[in-house]
Amino acid sequence: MGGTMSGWINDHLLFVVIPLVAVWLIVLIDIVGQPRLSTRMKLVWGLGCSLLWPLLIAYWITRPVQGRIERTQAGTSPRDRLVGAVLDHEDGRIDDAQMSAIVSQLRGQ
Amino acid sequence: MSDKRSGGVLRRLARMTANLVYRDIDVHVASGPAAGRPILAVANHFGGLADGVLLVDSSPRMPRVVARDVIWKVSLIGRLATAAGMIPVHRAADGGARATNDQMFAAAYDSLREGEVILIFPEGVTQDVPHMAEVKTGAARIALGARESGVEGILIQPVGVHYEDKAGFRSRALVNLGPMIDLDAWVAERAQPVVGGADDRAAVADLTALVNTRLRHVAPDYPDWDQAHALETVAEVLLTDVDVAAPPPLQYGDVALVGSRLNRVAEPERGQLVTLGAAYRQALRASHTSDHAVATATAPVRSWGWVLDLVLAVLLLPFALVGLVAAAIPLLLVLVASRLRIAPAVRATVVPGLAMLLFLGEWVLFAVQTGQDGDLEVGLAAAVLFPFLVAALFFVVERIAILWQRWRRRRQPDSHELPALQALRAEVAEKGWAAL
Repeated sequence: MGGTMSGWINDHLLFVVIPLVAVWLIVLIDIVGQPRLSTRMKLVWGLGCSLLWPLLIAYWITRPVQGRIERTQAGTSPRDRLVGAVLDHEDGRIDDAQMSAIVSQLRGQ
Repeated sequence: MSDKRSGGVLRRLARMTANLVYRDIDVHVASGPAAGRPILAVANHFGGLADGVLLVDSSPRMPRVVARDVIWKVSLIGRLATAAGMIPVHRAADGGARATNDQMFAAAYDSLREGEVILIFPEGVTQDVPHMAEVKTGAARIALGARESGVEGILIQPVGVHYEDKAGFRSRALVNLGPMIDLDAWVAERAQPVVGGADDRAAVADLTALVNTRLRHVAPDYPDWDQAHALETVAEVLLTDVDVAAPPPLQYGDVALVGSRLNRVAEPERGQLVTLGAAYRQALRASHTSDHAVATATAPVRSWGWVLDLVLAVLLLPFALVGLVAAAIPLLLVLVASRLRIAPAVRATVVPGLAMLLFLGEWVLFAVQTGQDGDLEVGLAAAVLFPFLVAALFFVVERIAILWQRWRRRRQPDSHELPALQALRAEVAEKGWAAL
């Protein structure tokens, strides 16, 4: 084993590179599979994390937790809007007419 | 170790276990944050230890769990429970004396006074049916007693825990945090003043009734599994209808929330929905197809997401194979445990418990074995690598499983079956949309 840091890295290159590549791949998979990120944001994060590896950490801290549905920050996908409307209607935050309008809009009528 | 630090470690351990045991955890939050206010969380108890793991993971702060004193009869588990800040409750059914619960109430009051979160399962026991047992008065007595002792601003947080398969390994779950009950506001609005806190029987009964209603609203409350499956099938149809281009599978939390809403539809509409949902589910199974395949039969949706999934799975395959070797023993034991012929509620305790212990043990062993002969750096690298290898293994296996399922179910129904399936689906959708 070499006596310097670079010598150690050369000796254990595999153990340094494998975790980093694994982390990078896992983050990319997570970005692609995020149901709450728009395609543009996925591209931005994916490119950012590929070009600037410290961004991996920034992404991991700020990433939307997989599947988390926050009522106050409901997603914009049609399914998020349906679930949000169903719960709002049941809790009395929207009336029958508003619910019907949302359902018609979601069904493309 | 300080309470705060041990709480932090336990929460991380709970998050690790939750992410290990469940493939997908949805957390639905109805109320805004309650910074610093004392919270009494009340939850349904379908999954034994699994409930505890999920609730600690999704709680805003490390909760102190009120649990049956039988846990403390096993020395090691008792010590862990004490280290986790759990509060023992003595039940007459377990041979405990009611008077000894004074300590439990005092500990709960002190914790609420400190602004902590207390977690209690007001049914008292775990359930293997998809509905809750009778809600007991413990939660109301703790809340009113604490208020009487001078604790202000108590919030009661109803929490519903839903499982796709509560005893399954790598299954899906939903933690549904409903609107909180502001105890001070409830007392102020009550026609009769609350006198004597936990000793005011009428107030305890009223608050228990409110907790019961709110908890049943967020927790699964189906009379039987057939009704649960039928209404979740209707929910799947509605969720597919609004975004037919999105590839399956649907988000479990979405299906559970819409299914629960349909379960609260008044009769006779609910009965009609159940009949239709059950018939459609049965027809899909008989035709070996899926709702998505029926929905897209006449206008197929081209999706190239599977190509990316396949490429990623191939890229991660080498890591997954090493992960398989590194974690083979714990994985095998946990999979066997998840298929044991024991009560599902017991399995839901055994599986997360075993997963936590075995994977942690294997992690340490993997690092020590790899780093033997004094090669510390290699041991450290192995310790860092182990979670990534296990994560890669899960990614690859689950991506391939999803692709396989999608491939198998992409089969369009035979031309002679399709019209009947489409007609049935249209009827399910029509009734479902009308019910919302």
